[in-house]
Amino acid sequence: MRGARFLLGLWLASFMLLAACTDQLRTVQGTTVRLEDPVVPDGTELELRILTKASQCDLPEADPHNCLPWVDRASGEVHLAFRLYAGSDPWAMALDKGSIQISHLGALIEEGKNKQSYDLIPHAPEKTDQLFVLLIDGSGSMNEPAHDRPIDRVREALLLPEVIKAFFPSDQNTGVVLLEFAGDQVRPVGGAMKVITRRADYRQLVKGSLRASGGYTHLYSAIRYATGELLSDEPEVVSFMRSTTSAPTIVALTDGFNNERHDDTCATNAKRLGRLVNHLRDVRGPESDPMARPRVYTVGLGRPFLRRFELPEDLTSVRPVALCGKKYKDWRIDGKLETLGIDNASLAWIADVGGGSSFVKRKTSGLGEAFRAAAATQYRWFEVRYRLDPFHLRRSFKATIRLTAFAQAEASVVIHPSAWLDAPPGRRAEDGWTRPASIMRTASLVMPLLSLLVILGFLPPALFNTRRILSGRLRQPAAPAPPRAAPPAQPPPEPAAGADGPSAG
Amino acid sequence: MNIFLVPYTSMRHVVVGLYCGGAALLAWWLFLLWTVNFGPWWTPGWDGFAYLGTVSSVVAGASVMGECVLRRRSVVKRLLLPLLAMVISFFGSMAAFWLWQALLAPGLLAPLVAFCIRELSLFTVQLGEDFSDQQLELLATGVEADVVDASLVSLRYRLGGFVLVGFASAIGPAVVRRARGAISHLLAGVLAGLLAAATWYVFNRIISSDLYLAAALGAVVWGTSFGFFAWGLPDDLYAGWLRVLSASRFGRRIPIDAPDGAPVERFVGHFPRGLDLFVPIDDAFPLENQVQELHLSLAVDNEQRYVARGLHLAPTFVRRFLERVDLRYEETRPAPLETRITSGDRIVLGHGREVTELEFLMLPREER
Repeated sequence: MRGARFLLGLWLASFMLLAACTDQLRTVQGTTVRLEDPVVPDGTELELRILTKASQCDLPEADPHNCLPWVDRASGEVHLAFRLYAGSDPWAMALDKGSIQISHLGALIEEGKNKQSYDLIPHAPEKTDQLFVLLIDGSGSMNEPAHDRPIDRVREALLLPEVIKAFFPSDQNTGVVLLEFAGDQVRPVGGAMKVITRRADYRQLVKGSLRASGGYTHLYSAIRYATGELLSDEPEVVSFMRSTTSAPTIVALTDGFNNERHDDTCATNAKRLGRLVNHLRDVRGPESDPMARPRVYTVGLGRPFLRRFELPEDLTSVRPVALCGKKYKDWRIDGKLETLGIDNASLAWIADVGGGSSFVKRKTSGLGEAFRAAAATQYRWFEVRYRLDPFHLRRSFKATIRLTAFAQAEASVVIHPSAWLDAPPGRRAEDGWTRPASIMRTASLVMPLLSLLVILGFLPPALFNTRRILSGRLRQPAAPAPPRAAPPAQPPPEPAAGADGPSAG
Repeated sequence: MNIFLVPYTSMRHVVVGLYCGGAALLAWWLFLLWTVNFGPWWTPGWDGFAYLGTVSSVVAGASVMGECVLRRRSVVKRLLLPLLAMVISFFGSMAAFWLWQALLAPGLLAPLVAFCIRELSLFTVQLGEDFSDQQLELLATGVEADVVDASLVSLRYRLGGFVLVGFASAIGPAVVRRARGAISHLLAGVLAGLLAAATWYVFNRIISSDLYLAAALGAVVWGTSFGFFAWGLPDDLYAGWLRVLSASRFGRRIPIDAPDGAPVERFVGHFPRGLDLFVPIDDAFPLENQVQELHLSLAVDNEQRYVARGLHLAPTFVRRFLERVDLRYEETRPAPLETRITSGDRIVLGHGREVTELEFLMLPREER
């Protein structure tokens, strides 16, 4: 009967232990966290795949330390890695910190707010073929003043070695289409529509043929043409695009405002910009092929006209006040507004809707920087690191990564840290972010602690013996006086005796 | 653990605590290495039991193992008895942990909190006096969300686990020791769980924000406090010895002990035959100043209490810190004077320049 009870108890205990088994959560080697499978919402244009398995880390520059999720509660950091896919094909991209949003438990991580920070680290540059369309303003203002013509600064910037290297990497097949817009026309520099694929041709064309023809600045129309007809109707461009594997990049450069007539005001541009925005949303919409979806970068040459301009949340409808501010909305552009600076508001608006970035630079070196950024290397996978108050890591949490530029993509992963113990905290690296510490670092805690316990264990005998030595119990005293008479009687045999003085140990 | 390295001082009880603390530290280490290298195959809800159960069963086993080693038990017993204690404590911990989890069940705690707020006006400090039903519902929802989250780091929801597993961890050693000191074992288990929980909390909330040091030091404190409070080193591991400190026959010693633990009495003097400890006399000094033929006896009873008895009119003193006991025989008394002696006491026979000094020591019984 007792045996049966024992077996029943054993069976129950074993059943409970087996019931604990799980295959629903994923563990991450080197940490005590568990992960649920990442969730990608339906209807996104690209699939943002958060890397959670070691098998997914078979990538260049990837190791489990930077590829798999990692949570460091000591510093309040969470590291995740992701890769973008178009359908089932991996999709390399040039993303920067501003291209993503991160949410922790539904709250947006914002740089500098409540000691929060985040970063995006690209990995594994991808050698992909690319088409760059450079759309250079050829209006009359590009020739003024005569002693320091903006068109000359543009030329110098385009001929900077690092810019040439960015447009024509030695190991990739890239093409550049050089266009000049002046008046209502967009013309190929050099006269003939051509996709330049060699550095020498590019240098020769920029040096010899890039000049400002003069006329009004039909910036919006030029961008509309470069993102529409040029890509779909020009045989040379279409043919080149068929051979590339990534989306075309349009770089539009201007030194002023979109100005089509002499009586144009800033408010007049609002409607035109609205039409361009609609066009860009069409060519970059969900129905468009991601492989052919243009990306628009805008570069302003000069100083911004609205220094404190901030993009409104709704970019679909362009209101004059939002674009120009109350003060300037009815000011004439020609000869008045254009003297205050360049239309940085329009440029930012176009770049945001166009999935690129906007730059406003005055010097040649600044322009070079902007061109290089537009021709940025594309990367195969990215690491996202964010930091927040460690208090928010004391329970299960959902981390969400959302792409804010180029295309819609989003993914979330629920992370379950252990409620009882952690692996050793990471070490702060030079870049300010922590790196996972080796598990062998635990030895640096265990060994001193064990040594302390052992030393404390030896302390009682050590103190005991020291006390006996100090009190003279282990030292034979001198005899009080020499014996005078016969030697003392011999001792009888004793029941148990030792010759040595006792001491612990 | 070696009885020769544990002198008979008040610190001897600490040694078992240190030993158990070391074992708990190693248990945490191995558990962490397993977890981070191979990953836990259990659900997050079992994390608490896996950590607490590992530490508690190893501490229970270490306590029993320590006793077996000190008592020089056979190798088989040294393996089997700790294993038995570990198994009992492990499954006891499992039951205790799940008892606590059952008490925290979503359907149980939230209604209880709501009842306490509504009927007993408890936990209302943050709600204010005029709390609404909606606030109450939100509070109950929050409590439920906390309760079901196995990853929540919170002393409020983990303290019971520490205490109950601590209680259960004491069952193994208490059973193996045949319920000797069962109450002290159980109390020690509860206390160890409480102290471990406090350490765990302080290191994950106040000193640091992660659970690395918290889990390690929580385990060490658990082991140390359980080892210290549950089983102190018993006196029967030691025996009293009498040792000569004077120049003549310096270092000679005899045990005041019988192998079977029976009462025994040993005699000291210079009578040349039949005494247990012979101490010579010096003819240069007057006889009344010296050790007498049958001067002193030391006895131990069956409860291991040691007494010294003065058997002669000659000076006989027991000296200890701030105390001197005169044991000279008085003719008017029917029995010799006696006093309890403890380890470290000095016994002085004779006076003047020619005195003979002895010391009483408790040494491991194995010294014999």
